[in-house]
Amino acid sequence: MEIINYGYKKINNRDVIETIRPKAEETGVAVKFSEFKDQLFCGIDAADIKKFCSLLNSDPALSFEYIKFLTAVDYVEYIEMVYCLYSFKNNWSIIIKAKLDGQEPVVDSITSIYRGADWHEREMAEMFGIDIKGHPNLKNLLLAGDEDGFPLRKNFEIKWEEREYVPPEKFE
Amino acid sequence: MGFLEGRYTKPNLITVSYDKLMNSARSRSFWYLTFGVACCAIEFMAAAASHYDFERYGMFFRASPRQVDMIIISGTITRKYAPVVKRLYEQMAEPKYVVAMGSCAITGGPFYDSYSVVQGVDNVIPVDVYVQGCPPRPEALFKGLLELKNVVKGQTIVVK
Amino acid sequence: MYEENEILLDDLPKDYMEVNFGPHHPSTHGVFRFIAKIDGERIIDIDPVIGYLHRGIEKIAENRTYMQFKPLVDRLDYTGALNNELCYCLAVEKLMDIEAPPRAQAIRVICAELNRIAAHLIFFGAMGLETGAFTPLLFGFLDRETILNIFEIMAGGRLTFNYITIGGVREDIPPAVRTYFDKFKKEFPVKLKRYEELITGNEIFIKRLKNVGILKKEDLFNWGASGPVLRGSGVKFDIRKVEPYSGYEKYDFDIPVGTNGDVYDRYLVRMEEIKQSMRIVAQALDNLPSGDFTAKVPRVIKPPEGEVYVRNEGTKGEVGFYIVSKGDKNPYRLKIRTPSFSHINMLNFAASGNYIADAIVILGSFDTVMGSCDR
Repeated sequence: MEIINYGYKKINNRDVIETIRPKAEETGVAVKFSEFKDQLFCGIDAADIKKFCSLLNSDPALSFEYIKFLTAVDYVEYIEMVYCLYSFKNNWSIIIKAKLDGQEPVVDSITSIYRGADWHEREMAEMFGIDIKGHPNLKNLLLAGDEDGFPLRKNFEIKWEEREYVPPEKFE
Repeated sequence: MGFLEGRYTKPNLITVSYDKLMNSARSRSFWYLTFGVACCAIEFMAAAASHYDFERYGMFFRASPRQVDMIIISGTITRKYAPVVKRLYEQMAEPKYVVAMGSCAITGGPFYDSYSVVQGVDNVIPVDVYVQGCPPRPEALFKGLLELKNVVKGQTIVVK
Repeated sequence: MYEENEILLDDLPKDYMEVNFGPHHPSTHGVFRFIAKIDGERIIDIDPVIGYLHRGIEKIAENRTYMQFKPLVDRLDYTGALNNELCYCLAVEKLMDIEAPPRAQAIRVICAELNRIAAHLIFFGAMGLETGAFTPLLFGFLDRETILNIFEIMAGGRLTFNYITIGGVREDIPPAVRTYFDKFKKEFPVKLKRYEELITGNEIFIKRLKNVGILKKEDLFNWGASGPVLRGSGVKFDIRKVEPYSGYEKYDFDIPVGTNGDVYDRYLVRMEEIKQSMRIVAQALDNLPSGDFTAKVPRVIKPPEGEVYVRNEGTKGEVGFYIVSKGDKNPYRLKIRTPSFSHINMLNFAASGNYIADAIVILGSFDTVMGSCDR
């Protein structure tokens, strides 16, 4: 294999915004950019996630081929999904946010574009109760399976008190 | 020897000499299970390696629970893992001993209020010696194992 | 003769055998379980099961203040604890616009690089155990004791420290660190050369590890791999050079890269990184600036509203913290991005189609730690 060298490049958010905005308007996705302490955030609708991510992945000038992480934050009226993507060629990184409904959150899966998003989505589905459509294998990943409620939501409280534990009689 | 157990209710010459022989042999050769759960496992492996050495006390590792008589619980036990620990303990043959190492195995440690942590491994299996620290130094682990020798030397076949 | 009761072999129902490598097994990787479908000696499919060490650290963070949460961060990747602390403190400092003074930055670099050497020595021991050799494990733990002596004088602990704090470090380093490190620098390269003759040039080792588990660069980008796994496949990328933090741009070091993408290259990359880390620590101790060892920090830490994501090069890959704060004393949401989670995700793709013994060696070359995967 040949060796490819990725060196130091200065962060320039203006270039990223100028490159993405015309391409997003072509495919019909409404994007809103904002900056905070050298980081670039952009907000889109929940229904456009798959179109936007495949545009960012397959375009050779953008080439956002690497997914860093995928998570969700619970503000009580709505749940916000956060995707963080990175491009090795240009040293650009972008954080995409989408708002979902607070009571019954539903979103599409991006496992067909980035295969590494598989376990991140499984973890979000069991911690927040998000219904992810099109995921190949949605089972419990980290939890034991007998909690009542979704642990990372704000109405699930944990306190510093003593709890009982009774081991099961028969092992499964 | 099977025909001596459960026969005497008061100590006499036969039970005292049998106890002395068997306890001194048992306390000088513990075989432990290779069982590392979390951060304390790295300190446990460092104590068993060549700088501080376990083998000069006669302790040696085996990989199968049927062939050991001591298990050292080193790390946090969660609710998903507790049935596995109980099954491993039931597979060991008598006489068997348990050492709880580190504050996560004693009472749950710094993760006391989490939703998935069992607060102390003595909710699952009975424990003989507790070694505290987060993680305990290898010298502290040695002191705990030498206390275990005293526990063994106090056992007797007299039925009360 | 057998016409009435004749059963052809092709009509019999067949299925693959399912074998369970349970959560307790004789290997140093921790509580990890996988269910493999095998056909003879070849693996068809692997289904990993994790979660046996899930302690709920992200939920605990919402009940603690920023300073009270800092000792828990050590217990994530417990072989290289100071790198996790450095990443968390950099994230909170970015939210509050504090910068650590130059002496504190140099001390942080010394801590992080010494911890990298200690973690790679555990990898050296575990790699020998995967292929069936017991001696590298004892060699690795013996050399690690010299480094843990240095940590005990400097930071006060052997495995978990609580030394790097928001704004700098907790105490100044004593001058005895210089003498101990000079002695280590004179004696250790001789031993490293002996280990290379014993193990790296060994025929059995080379036959076991070469051309096993070849991974290409495009697949690695898609799955989210980072660290020495990425560098073994020809990608010369290191966060210490691309986005330097804590004064790394002043030091002169190289990045080792592999060309084949197999297990042997990932092993050689880590062995070479030990030598480069020793170079960095020697330069940092020679040019240690004088001054304060901590910046002025308010007594109660209440960062303003905002969100931030900071990453750094841990011992096994890219470690990152994503903090959302609403101006309170406790964080509103804290997400920890660890490299072991993404690497175990890749196990089915990397190890299917190989023999069982090769699959164990591939898992060993990813160098995963279960405290970091389950959090």
